[in-house]
Amino acid sequence: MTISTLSDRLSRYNKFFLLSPLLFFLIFFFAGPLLWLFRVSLYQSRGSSGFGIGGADGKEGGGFYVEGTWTLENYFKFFQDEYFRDIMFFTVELAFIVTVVTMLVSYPMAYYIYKAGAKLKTFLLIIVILPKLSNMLVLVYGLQILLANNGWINKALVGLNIIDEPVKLVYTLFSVVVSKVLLIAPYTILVITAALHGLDRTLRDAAMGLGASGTRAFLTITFPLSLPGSYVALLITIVWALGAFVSPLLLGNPDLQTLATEVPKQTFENVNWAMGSAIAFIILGLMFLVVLVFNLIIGSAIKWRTA
Amino acid sequence: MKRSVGKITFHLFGLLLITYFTLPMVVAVLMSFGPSRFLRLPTNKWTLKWYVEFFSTTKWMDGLWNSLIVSSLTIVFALIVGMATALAFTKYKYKWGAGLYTLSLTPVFTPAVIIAMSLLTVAYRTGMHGHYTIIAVAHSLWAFPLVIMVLKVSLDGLDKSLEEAARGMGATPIQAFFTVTLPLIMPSVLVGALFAFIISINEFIMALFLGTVDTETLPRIIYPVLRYRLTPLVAAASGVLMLLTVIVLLVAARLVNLGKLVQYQRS
Repeated sequence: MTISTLSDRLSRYNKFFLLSPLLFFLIFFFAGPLLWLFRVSLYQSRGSSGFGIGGADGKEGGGFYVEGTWTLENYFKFFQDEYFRDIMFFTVELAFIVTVVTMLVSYPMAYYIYKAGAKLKTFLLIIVILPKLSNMLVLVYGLQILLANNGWINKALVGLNIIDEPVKLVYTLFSVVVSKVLLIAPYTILVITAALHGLDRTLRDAAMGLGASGTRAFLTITFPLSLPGSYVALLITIVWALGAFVSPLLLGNPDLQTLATEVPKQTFENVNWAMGSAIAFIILGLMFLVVLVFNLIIGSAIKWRTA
Repeated sequence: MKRSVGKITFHLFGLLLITYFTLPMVVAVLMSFGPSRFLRLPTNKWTLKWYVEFFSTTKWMDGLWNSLIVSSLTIVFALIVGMATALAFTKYKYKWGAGLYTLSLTPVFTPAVIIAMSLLTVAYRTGMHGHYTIIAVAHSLWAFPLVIMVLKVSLDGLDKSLEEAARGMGATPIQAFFTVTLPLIMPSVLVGALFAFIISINEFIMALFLGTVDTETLPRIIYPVLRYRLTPLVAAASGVLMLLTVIVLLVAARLVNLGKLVQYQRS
């Protein structure tokens, strides 16, 4: 055996060896647990009489679900119970509002960064990334104080004579949306900024050279060409908004809870792991559904445009 | 005239957004230096008493320690997975390479509640519930995709002839990697480690699901306080978290010439 065939063999071995950590993590800590989550959601739940870990009879899974059962009753219960249905509708409604606001905030901001000079651009990018680098609980705490009845926002509004008395801003839909957008927008702004920077500038210049105004060049060239990148940002926004957890929990009220906040409620407060898993899986299903529907709509839109 | 009005509106919009992005953080930090126990912003009196209380309370210090253990483990996991994967995708072609690459990035877009709940059910079965390792594993699912992305850019820009030269002069692949490739991509490795640290030290939903009283991280202790009784002690804890993040960022900036890194990646 020559040296070169030996090294060929080694490199072929290497080729798959290098992927093994990734595959190990994806299989055992990502895909596997998701499958197991689905399995747990098919267990029969054991009422809400558990006593924490170990359960009433001390066996594995004792207090959380009934071992060895296969049933769809958790899903049936979810879709029949008005309580769960209301939460689901609110989750979708919140995701819709958050998505619209996030995109309305992100696109102009990304365009603003795109247009800014080099120094201002660096500064703006740092400002935009900052909330993503800090703890979301810190942001929530800051917002709780800012939006309080005697907080700066209310004081400023009263001072400017826009309102006569402080308005309740915190623990309302407003504060939930404001915080959720703050948690998502850094990402979408970066994605759209990157998309804008990836555009061929000469196209816009050509349009303007042919007599198009700045606005018209933006509407007919820059905006349509930046749509594919913005579409990725849109999908990420919807997925994250459907999984909203911290905002409704800490800045919402009992009427403004989402499916994600219902997961720990069922799992830890009601000690009903089967129901908790079923709800987590329903969130996942909703995300897939939305992405699928959007892909179909966008796909046919592209076909229609190119036809 | 019309044009300048548009421009001013645009700048006002930018200013408004900068305020929106920074004010909550600024307010949280300001609160930690105020004397009042209530939600009143400090006006003229400044104090460090909340920080003193933070550092002299066992519960908070234990939380800080737990946070540091979990984030160290996260860095190790994220770097092992991220580095091996980035190397694999730059060096070799795979049959389903594109699909696998996309798949390797999906965990970072999966909401924390889903990852947390699914790992909880498995952790319980395998007896790993409440262990530092499982929290770190959860955090590294968000961290390793970022390490892959950062390292991939750096490796793609690398001059392949350097490693080939080392091989030609008789170095084994492993020697060539450690003496040539690794030193060259070291800045990006550090940036990846930094991302992993920042994600882990700040993440709270997975820590909430997967931790127990013994492995409570700092954000997990802050959470019930935010929900039931607001005190500036929370602000002090937030201040410590932010200080940690900033220190790590500065150390990284010192170790690595970040500007050079950006230039290097552009060329």
